[in-house]
Amino acid sequence: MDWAFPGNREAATPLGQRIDDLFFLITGIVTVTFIGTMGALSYVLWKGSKNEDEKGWYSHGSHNLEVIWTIVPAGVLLFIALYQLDVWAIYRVRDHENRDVGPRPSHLVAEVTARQFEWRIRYPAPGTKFTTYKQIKAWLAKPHAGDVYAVNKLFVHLNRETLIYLKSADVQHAFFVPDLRVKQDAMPGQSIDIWFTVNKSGKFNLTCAELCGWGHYKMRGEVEAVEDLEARLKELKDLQDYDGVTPPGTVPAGASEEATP
Amino acid sequence: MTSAVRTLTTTTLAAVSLGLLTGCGGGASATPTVTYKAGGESGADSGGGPVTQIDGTGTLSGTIKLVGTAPTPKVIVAKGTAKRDTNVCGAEVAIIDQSLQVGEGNGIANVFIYIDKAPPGAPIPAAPTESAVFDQKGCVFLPHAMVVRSSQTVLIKSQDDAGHNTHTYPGRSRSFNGAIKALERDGVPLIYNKHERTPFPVKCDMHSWMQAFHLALDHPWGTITRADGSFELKGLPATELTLRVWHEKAGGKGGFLERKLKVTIPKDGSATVDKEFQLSDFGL
Amino acid sequence: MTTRHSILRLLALLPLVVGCADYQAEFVNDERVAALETTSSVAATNLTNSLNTHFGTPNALVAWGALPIEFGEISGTVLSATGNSLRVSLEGDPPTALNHVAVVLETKTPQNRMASSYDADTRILTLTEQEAAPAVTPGTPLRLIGHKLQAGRRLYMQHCMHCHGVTGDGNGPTARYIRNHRFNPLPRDYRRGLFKFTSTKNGFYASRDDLRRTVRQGLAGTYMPSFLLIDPDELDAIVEFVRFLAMRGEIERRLLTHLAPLMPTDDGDPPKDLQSLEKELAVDTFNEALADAASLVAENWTSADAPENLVIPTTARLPDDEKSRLKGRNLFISTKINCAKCHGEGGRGNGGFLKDIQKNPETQQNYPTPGLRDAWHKMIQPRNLTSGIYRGGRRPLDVFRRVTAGIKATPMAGFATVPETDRWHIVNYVLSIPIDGAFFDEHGHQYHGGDDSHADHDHPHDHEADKPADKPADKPADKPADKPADKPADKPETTQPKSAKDKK
Repeated sequence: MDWAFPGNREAATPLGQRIDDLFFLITGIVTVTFIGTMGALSYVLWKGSKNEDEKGWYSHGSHNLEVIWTIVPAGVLLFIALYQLDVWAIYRVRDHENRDVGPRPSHLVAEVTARQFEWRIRYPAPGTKFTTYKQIKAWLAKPHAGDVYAVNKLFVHLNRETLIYLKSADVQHAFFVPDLRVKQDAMPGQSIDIWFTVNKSGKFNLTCAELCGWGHYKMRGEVEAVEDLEARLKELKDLQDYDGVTPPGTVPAGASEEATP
Repeated sequence: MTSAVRTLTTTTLAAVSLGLLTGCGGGASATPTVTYKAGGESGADSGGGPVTQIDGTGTLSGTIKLVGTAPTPKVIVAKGTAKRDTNVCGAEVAIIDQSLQVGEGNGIANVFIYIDKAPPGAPIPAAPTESAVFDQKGCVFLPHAMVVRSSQTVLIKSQDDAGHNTHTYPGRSRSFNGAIKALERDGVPLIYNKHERTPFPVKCDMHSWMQAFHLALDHPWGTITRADGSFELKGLPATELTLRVWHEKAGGKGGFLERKLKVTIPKDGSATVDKEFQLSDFGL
Repeated sequence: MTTRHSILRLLALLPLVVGCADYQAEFVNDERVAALETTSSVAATNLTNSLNTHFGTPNALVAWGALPIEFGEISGTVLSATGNSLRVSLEGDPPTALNHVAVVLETKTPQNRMASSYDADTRILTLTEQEAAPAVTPGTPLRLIGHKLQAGRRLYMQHCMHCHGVTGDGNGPTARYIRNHRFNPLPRDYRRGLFKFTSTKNGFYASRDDLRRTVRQGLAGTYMPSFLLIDPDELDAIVEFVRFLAMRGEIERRLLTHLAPLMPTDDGDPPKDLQSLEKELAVDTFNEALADAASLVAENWTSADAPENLVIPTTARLPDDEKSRLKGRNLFISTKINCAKCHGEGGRGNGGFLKDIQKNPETQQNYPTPGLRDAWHKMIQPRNLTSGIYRGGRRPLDVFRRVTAGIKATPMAGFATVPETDRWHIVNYVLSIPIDGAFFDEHGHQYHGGDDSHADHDHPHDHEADKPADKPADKPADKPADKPADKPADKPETTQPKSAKDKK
């Protein structure tokens, strides 16, 4: 796990890149403030320690000074608050289920169930196109024919919005992909939606970010963004349908109308 | 701060950091040493030397009897009262506990009498080519005890119109757990591929009282007593033999009634062994 | 400086010893060895000594050539030797760290030495000191044995030991937290050499591929997690170490069976003829029993990897349509093979046989409570087929293998004599239960159970068997007005073939 600082590795999602920009902006503001205040404090301490004769100067306060150093920081903070509103809204508040903004139901890729200590993944049958969130909810509620199952390895779209639903089978976990700047707690009993668009291909570490037991440290997975997700899922489905005789990828079971012997 | 306190603080900080840095050696990250031991060491304790051929065979016969009154066997399923598979289990006759069957004259049935290892120098007759049959009727195994030749095929059959399974627990051979479908008349083949040193249970998981005992030997010199406790072993090598006498209820949970019963078989003659055992030998 | 300061100083050094005691992992003996110790210490000592000689301890392992384990062997030749420093040429791509592996010098009588370190750049192999070791002549072939066993042990301690235990007895420190659930399977005790989810025939052991699959994919629905991202070499090393522990446990068990007549009776008394039995079993025939145990164990594990012992269907899976599933259902509930007696009429794992009290095959006594037991004498439940959790894999091939060969160490028998087509019908039925339901109504349509057999059954159709007069009455009366399922808008479009029940 060598992601330590956003500057070392660029985020792989556009929103992640915006989060990194915000990070640098706030770091810059805070650094300037830090240098300024610490510099002033150090100067005053140094100057004061050298002064052996003069008595201390007692002040009755300065109204102007109080006003200045309330207004200025308040202004800076207000600026930061307003500047990041948009990113926060896109990341957290965007109400996707009933409006035109947000991921389309057709962006649904998988249901990820966090359990001690692995990630169990279920994709809908390759070729399924969801058009309403009601359909998604019905699909999440129980297993369906043609579902493809996987564990610890999640395939997502490249350059296209990905929507996944996060569940927990037992205790609280958190779905954390640092390279995508995505983190969401998994709550038992809830199906929580997570959406992101990956614009760099590659494999990204998935770790658990909510202490969930003695195996929390090894709850690792991998998220891979692929160009042709359909094809990849079809491959997985063919392997899942393997009957020991028919090579995977040839005649799918159930498609034939021939009479059974 | 005083210099003493200062020294103390520095020492503590140094000690703690050193302790944390050195940490725990060993454990998961230690590299274990590996020593090599060649395989193929001979385990046979009997040295080499020429083996004298034993020629001639004889017969051994006798009886195994119980001293005292045997308890009445428990009824496991009274006729017609089975909870499941009522059309077969206990349908015609009640199912009775077979673990200690004492016949007329207090003879004990289903006692295994056999030689463990074939005596060196004894020519071993070839294995029979025909299969042994292990059947079941009314949710009871027939026969209750059986001696077969290892590598002989045992055909598991069923006269019951209900599914069973046969689960074996041999000591050295490959185990078997196969379903036997209703009215299986062709027989499901089962082979014990190794010589067994003690008899072992064969059960049906579906009907928990169903149990039988098998023994697979790599020679033909083993048998079980009949209902009246009598037995006969033919073609035994004419020499001094060490016999084992085993019963499923010996000591309460199955074991040897006699582990080293020495008998000399006269060439072209017959020897007799009559043994009696107490109720206490069966944990009763 | 006062004494108080000196004492405080010494106390300050106390943190140095915190956590620095070297954790000595030790193999744990089987529970019966303690009982054996009370009657025959000779037998117990011989047993533990022979295990020590042939398997070692976790920090000083022994690679025993009689066992079919890949310890990691590198061959090479000695080019030159100065004392304990040998300049060698090794074949293949040796790993960089070869500390403490066994070195076998193939002189006329092979010498066993140990490597202290190996420098890949200078190709100098330094051996550890050994008293009176003869000088090594150039040109001697040598073998370095054990790097894979070391890697396996290290990885096992890191990833597996906390549940499966140092000895592989399923009793590691975290195993106790799994005990709370009534039927949650405990970590596997390897010492019987039995593993449940295999691809081999009835009676055969688990192959290396089976063990690899279990580690990589985990076991769904249990506490065995998936180690999907593990490096393939590390995976192989772990599997070899698991086999090592399993073989050690099996040999211990077999030796204990050999020494069983020496165990105390139920009253705690020593057995009769203890002296002569002890001499016979623990001294005279002991080595023979050990060699026999080793060869049996080796044969069992080797035969498990043989390709002819895999369960491979000869016919392709039959099309997964409603007709096949109905046939599977009828086979499932028929008393001819009695699946439903364990798995239940609805496949929930609550069949009638669970009410019977089973007998322990080792002691011939009844278990105290009703229910099925596995080979480790723990309560076990037949799989709840409605859950959609398949521990051995969810491919049709995996379910076929379950049905054909059963599950080792459990009451699940192998139905190999049921014709293959029938087994495929059962597979089709079983795989459809979580999605389409376990029951079939009088028209042969699948549903999930309950009173309204026509729930989820909302399409107009003709029943050929029905008389025309019955048809109008059939539909309106059967369909409740507020059925939420199956409305066209709720079903996503799919290019997949529709599930069987939608077929008209």
